[in-house]
Amino acid sequence: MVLGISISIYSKTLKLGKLASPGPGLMPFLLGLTLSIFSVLVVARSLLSAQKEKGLHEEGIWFQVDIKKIVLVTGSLIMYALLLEKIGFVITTLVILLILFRAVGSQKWSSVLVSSILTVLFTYLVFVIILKVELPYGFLGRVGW
Amino acid sequence: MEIFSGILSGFQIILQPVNFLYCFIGVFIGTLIGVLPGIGPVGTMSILLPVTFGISPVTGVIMLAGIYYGAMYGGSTTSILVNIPGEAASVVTCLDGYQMAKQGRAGPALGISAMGSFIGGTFSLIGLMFLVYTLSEFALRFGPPEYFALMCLGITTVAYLARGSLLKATIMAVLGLILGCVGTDIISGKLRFDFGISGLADGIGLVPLAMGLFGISEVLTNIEKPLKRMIYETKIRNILPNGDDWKKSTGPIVRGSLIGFLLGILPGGGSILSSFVSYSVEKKISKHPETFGHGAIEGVAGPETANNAATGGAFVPLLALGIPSNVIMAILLGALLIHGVTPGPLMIREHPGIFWGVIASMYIGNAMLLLLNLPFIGLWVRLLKVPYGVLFPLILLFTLIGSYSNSNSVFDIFLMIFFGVVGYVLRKYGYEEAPLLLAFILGPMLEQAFRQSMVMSNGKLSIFFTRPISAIGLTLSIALFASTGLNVFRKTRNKVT
Repeated sequence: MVLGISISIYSKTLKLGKLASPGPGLMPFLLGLTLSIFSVLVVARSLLSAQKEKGLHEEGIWFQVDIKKIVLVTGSLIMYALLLEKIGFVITTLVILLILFRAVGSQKWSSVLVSSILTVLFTYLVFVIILKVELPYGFLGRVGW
Repeated sequence: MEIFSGILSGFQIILQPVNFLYCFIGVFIGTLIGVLPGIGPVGTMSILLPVTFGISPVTGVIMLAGIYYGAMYGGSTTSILVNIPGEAASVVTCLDGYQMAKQGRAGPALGISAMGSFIGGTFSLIGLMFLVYTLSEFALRFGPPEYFALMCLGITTVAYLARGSLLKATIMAVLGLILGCVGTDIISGKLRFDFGISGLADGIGLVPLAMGLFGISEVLTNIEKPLKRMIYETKIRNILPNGDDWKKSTGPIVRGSLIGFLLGILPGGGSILSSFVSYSVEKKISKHPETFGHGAIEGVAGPETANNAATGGAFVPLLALGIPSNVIMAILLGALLIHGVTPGPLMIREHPGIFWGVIASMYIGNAMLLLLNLPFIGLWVRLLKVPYGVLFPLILLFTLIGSYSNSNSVFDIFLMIFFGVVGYVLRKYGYEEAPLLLAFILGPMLEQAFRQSMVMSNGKLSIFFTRPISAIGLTLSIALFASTGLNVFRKTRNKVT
């Protein structure tokens, strides 16, 4: 049970190691090989222990985990990345902060709104004005912000 | 004396207003994140890494280093007051520190840990200065085979000392090495593992990788369960320890300084290990071992001194050899490399400003921390009331802005989110990120050293074993590996039979 995901990642890297051209591929190949040996070991061990303590681990790791929250946060991060250059820093940031404060902090809407706006102003001040980081302006252009 | 003129020039550098300011910012942020649970020095340093690109390398490293040792100070505060270690190196402090706070002696506990941290930090700096100087003269004679062996040893020990199983840690290290291979091959110029994505041609950036693994996945781990707030009630009186406390603590502080510094030098050692070792040493030699765990001040003074002394020790291999001994040093190495500075034996000569400036900044920084922590302890404690719900969105936002500004491309944000989620899942299954990041940074250097050695020896592997230093290094790493391999084997056999 333990390593369903990791095995797939590992076997993939292994294949890539073999495909690489000989000169620069030597190191990756050796590494891919080592990796696959070790992952086989881990799988073997987890199989061994799984037989012994069947069902004990079933709920262990993911027990009580708020999957919805994790998905929501990850999703909003991806959204942010997608929209950042199209809409611009200020609006995108405001939106993601609204979502995050509400979802993670589970506060009242009014305080969510206030803290989001304050955060946007603060980060804009620090990053754009003090540190002079180039952030995308989006369709509002320089005039908008 | 060259050392004295060197350190003098270092003080000149740190006393420049810019550097002084960034040193202060560094230790301030360090204390802040040390106090706040939920984000550690590694995460913070990777989030702030892009900020350092805009400033001169010496200023950047001064700030990053400040975060590191600042966090060691701050971490003790929460351990003592609320029994929650702000970062891993303060776990031991909880044992006796929290007991002291329960008995109404929170003040002396905080006081002695700040004083001990200061003494340990300063002592290890003096040690660092002299040791790096001599060691780097010696290391000038090292060739690629020696470096290859030392890097192998570094990665193995980090994996060996990892909290989880060695097998998993090794897998993470190998994974890190593979990730380090992504991008253009340094010798032939061929593209590897780029999957036709142009963003990967230059390799995976340190910033998105580190931020994903230590920023995003740390936040995800923290929000997955319903949030619990701890409330702190006790009042703090009498920060200054009394005479009796001092008498009891002098020994532990002296021993803690030595233990911390020596263990800090060893790869993979660092602050966490040294605080544990110091605690067990104090307990063993104490005349009243039964008081430990019930508010013995020795149990606070020793480990807190040791974890700060370890920060100085950890700089030794980085500055003298260019080989980081733990993840934090690896991030510093990454920061220096991005600035085009290669730490190592030649650094004192080629970039004396950075070398001495950083060392001098640590003297100043330690003094700043003492001032920041003793009179203002109440302020830091109040920070604990900041709800996580406000903290985490801010951390996430900083990672987003940081990864974007790193290369002004959305691609890095995606990369970071990807590593964040992967890191989160791996964390759940007991895989540690630290060996991965260390191996990732060492990977390209390791490969280069390996291939240069092969050229030197016309492809004979024996070159690693005919040269004494590389032979010792490699033998040690193989031995470390074999010993745990045997252990694992034995345990599994016992389980089966």
